[in-house]
Amino acid sequence: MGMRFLDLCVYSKDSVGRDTRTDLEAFANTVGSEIRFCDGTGAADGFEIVFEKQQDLKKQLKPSLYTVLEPQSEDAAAMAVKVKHTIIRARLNPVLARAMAENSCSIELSLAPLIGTRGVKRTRALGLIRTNLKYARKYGVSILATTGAKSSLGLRSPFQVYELLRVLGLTEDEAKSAMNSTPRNIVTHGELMAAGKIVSESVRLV
Amino acid sequence: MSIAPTLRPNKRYIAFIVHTDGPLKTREAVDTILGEATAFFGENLSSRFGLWLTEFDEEKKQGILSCNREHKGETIAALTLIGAVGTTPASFQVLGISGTIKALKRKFLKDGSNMSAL
Repeated sequence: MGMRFLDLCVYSKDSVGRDTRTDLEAFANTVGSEIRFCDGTGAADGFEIVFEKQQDLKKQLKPSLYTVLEPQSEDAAAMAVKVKHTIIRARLNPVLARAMAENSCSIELSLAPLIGTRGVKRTRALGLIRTNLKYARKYGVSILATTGAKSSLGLRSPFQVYELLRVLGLTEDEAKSAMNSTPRNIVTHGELMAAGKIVSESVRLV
Repeated sequence: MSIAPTLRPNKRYIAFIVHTDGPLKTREAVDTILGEATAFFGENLSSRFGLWLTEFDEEKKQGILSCNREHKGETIAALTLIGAVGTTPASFQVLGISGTIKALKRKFLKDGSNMSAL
């Protein structure tokens, strides 16, 4: 239906997922979305770091196509937003949002906590999305939509993700950007970094 | 007394396929869709969607869901949020949307579906 979705947070058997990469890629092809694995096993993968202390983050950081940071405390979140060009999975506040905008970080809008859940868990997930959306808009933080799929049944088609994002309160442009342009920019930046074409921030070799 | 055609609510027909292991009864599909719409949007709002499972093929796990045109987005969002049928993991994939069942079948259910009208 003319819509594109690049899902950057898909987990295969190589990490915490249940299906193999081949199965996931085949199913993604069926529903019409593009996926990238967040297993942290290869150069073409994203890498996820869940951490509570500053030292943990420093120890685990390694070159990868893109990095997803999930801070477990407020101090950890303050640390996470200082790492440039990362994807952050946290509850935003004005301080974090401003730092994220300055460091070109993106905030993850994951659909996984909404799919197949009910009651308090889903209500909290919706609350988190509303809060993050509010601060992301105010401070100009880019939003990244992901499914967070751990099996092929967690993947969704671009059109369905778009309609869900619209229901969650994103505008047409915000939804399209969260699904396509933001993830593509992240991947492109990662590829340029890997190829050594970005020697430092804001300097790109052509 | 019937309602004049111009005053009738406009419908949209949504073709979908259910990805799940094991068989799926029509009743289970209906309960899952209505249950999800009610759980997410509430009884009041979901009652305005005009949801109706028009046809369902238990073998192919394909179906046609009708809804009011104004609530097409919410209906698709409800289908997107379904993660299980009963306790079995499942996902509902929207194949396409149309204003008539005929066009829907022509565009999205080409392979001679065996769907029975409910």
